[in-house]
Amino acid sequence: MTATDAEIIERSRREPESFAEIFDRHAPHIHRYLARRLGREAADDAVAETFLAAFDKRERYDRGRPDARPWLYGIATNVAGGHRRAEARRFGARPHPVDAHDHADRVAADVTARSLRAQLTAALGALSPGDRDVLLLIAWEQLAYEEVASALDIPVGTVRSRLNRARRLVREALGATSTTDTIEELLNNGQHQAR
Amino acid sequence: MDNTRLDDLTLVHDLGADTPLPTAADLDPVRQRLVAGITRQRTSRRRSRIALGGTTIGVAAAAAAVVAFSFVGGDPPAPSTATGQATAPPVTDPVRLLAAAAKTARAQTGQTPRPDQFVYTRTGDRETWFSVDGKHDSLMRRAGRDTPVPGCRGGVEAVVKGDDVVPGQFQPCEVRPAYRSDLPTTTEAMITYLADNASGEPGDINARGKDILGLATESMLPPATRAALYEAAAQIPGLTVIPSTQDGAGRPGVGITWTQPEGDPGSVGVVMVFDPTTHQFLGTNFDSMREPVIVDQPGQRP
Repeated sequence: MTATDAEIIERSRREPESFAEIFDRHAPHIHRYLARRLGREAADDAVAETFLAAFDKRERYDRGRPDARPWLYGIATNVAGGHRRAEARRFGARPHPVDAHDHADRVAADVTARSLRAQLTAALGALSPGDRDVLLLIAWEQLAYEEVASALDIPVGTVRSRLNRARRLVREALGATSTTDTIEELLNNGQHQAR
Repeated sequence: MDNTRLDDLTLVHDLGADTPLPTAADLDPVRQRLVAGITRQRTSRRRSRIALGGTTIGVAAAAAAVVAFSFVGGDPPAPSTATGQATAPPVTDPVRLLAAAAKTARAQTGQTPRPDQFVYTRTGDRETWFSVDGKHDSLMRRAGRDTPVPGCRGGVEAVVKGDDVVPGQFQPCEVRPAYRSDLPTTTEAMITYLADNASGEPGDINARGKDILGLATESMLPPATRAALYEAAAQIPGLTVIPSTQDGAGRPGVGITWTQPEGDPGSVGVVMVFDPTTHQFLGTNFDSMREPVIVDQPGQRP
């Protein structure tokens, strides 16, 4: 039978090298999460930081949790918090004004999509860190509410309220800045774009 | 606007959708950093600092006793400016020289010592026998005077006062193997290791050079580790080749040095000296390095 993460972490207390198995199991997802948040360049450092921090904390791992991934997401989220400057660069960019005359005829769809992207990243950047953490762990990483609660060490009720607030703020930001009639046009990548 | 048709979660999700899952190969450098970090914690060493040409060099505490060169108060020979000593065509590119040195190091068969053996070094009148695995009792001898260096077993080592072990007294310790099989064997991992264990601030080239020099001279390295060290050294900016120089014992060689900090009149640049033909590391312009030798017992000479 394959060992659970909890068993491997337990073993790594005596055989530190075996902690590399935890890396092999989870590093791809943790790396993608951090690359989404911080950019590819900063992700390598942040992943190394995450797993070294996890290694340091392994004695305190709750052995009642067979799957270590939510725990690792929690540590990665803290690490991302320490790289807030990189994240600010990624999320902080204001939407670029779209010059309709230059682009509309040729690449309207592309521009619309890019414009949406810029609006979205700006909206995410405007969220409070706690709200953003919850939203991204759910929307990007597909964690369940309970897993997010465990990862961030907050009650499930707080996960719900943060998620609701984050979603509302994102909707408001998009609604306020959208120049198109409906969000559907954006969603459809400009396929219904009026010329 | 039509909020029922707006799925903001899907929008956010799609924003992350173009970031692919990395492959194991993509992650390998990061994995090596983790493994190096794990290894480092296991064998982490207390650090001490010795004066070196007006600056300081961080070295492992035990290794400080093994340091194979004495920089302070020495009378280093000036690098020779004569040419034509080398029989091989002169190498003028530091990266190529270090690559050749790495190749030479990697090609060495290098006996892998048993854990219960000892690394013997001799510098001037100082001899050391350090435990390969750090767990056996080692010995230093200077001018005929023996100093015991107790091995670290079960997290404790015997206390030494003066030149004698204090009976029945123990103190916490970290295992310090004289044979550094715990160090990285690839260039990339070595660069990371050097960065993580830097004695100077990030970007301090002089400190990095001295860290490398410390590893090259003060411990016995497996061939692949020594090769990785030279390859990592090639990444230091500002390296220059001294085509014809000599080591501390007067052996001719080709040297590598790096930009030295300015403004310290007492500071003499350290030159790593390589055999001009085989590109084997000979030592520095301050001292020749006797190849460490494996012996079975403390006190035993090869």
